Amino acid sequence: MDSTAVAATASWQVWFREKILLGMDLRTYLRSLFTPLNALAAVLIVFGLTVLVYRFAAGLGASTNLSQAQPWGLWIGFDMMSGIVLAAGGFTLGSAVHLFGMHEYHPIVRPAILTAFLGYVLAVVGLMADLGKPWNFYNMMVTPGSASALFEVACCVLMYTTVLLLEFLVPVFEWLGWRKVHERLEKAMLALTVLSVVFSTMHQSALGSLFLIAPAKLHPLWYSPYIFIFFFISAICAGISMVIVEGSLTHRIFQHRITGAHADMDKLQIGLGKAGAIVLFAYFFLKMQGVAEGEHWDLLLTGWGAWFLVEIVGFVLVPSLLYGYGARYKKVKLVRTAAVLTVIGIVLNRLNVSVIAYNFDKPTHYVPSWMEVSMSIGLVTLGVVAFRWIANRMPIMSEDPNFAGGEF
Amino acid sequence: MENEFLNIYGAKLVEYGLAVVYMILFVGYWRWVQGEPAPGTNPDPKRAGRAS
Repeated sequence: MDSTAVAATASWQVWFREKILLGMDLRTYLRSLFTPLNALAAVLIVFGLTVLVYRFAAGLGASTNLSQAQPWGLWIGFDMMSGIVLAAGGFTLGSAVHLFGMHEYHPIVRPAILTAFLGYVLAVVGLMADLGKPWNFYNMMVTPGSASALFEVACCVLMYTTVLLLEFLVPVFEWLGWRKVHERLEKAMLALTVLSVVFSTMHQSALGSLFLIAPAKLHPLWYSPYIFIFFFISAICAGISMVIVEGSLTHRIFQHRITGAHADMDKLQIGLGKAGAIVLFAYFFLKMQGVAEGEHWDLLLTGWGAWFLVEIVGFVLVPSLLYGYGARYKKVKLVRTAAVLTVIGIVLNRLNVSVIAYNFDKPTHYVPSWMEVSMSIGLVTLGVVAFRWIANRMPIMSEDPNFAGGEF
Repeated sequence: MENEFLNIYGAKLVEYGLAVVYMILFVGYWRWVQGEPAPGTNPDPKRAGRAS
């Protein structure tokens, strides 16, 4: 081996050690992975992935409690519907910063985009598991059903995931030190942000439009001809709230990864709380309009009505007021509590629409199998572990100082 | 005699009424959320200036 080859190998080893192994040698790094939390995460991920393999080997019938009467279950209600809506922080914050000029929120854009990217990737994995023949998915592009809401969802999710990948590549190129391609991508970022808003607006609402063909199957309190508007507005609520929840956790856990001046997270979160209060307030009245439009006031006095009120009062109106009070009196803990309640509420809404209140009048009701639950838990754990792996290595919490000065 | 086709106006009345109530409340709520509390009214004065 000549001296150039030896030097190249040594430089690659140094790069691998610094960038992948966090400056440790392989043995020390592997030893550092043996922690109780990592062990638990490994068990959950391996278990979930085993179920995923079993689903493809044995089929949906053997691994889920789905049926012809109930073709959508936990993988659609939680992995897909909730995963997509909770990933709305990417486009909400991206548009606030890059389109509306709210540059003070710039320090929390990258974690939001990474969360959104991982959320979409895992939602697509969940969707693939739920499709009967996922290998036929390319047909939607070959023979597009342009009048179908499902086509709009599939097409926009595909394109928005690509946009998120490109947005995520900015910190990846900083990490790799690829200056030229980084500069080119930065120049395209404004266009990518515009595309992300367009695609998100389309598919977040189209996910609601899917239920327009099932007015008799979905409970009248959740069904409305305006359901696509509810889905879009609630996606903005979820996006704002997820940014607060995720920012509270990551800013504390990855504090050591922040270079330069630390952003005042309390101030940013109180600002987001103001937006959350206003949007949730509007969402609450829109849901009331849905009840008024269908003249379903009498249904509020039934068991389903009580459950509906739990959702829209407990997880929409109450968080809105908490956001408002917390933002006005600068009580950041109240703002964070409201964010957690909103996230729970929006997930509950998606589960209500697609699983719980769907086929509400059938004699037997769908309950997810243990395999469906374990795969969903495994995918969420995989997302958390992937976020941690990336944030520990790449400039997610703050920009690489060598690349500083860029807008994104 | 009750005219069935006129029933929709009842529903519309509720919808428009709800929209008017919403707009009135929204303006007040917006101003309350965006505004600063009057001096001495902050329930936690230690943190009052932190995020301003």
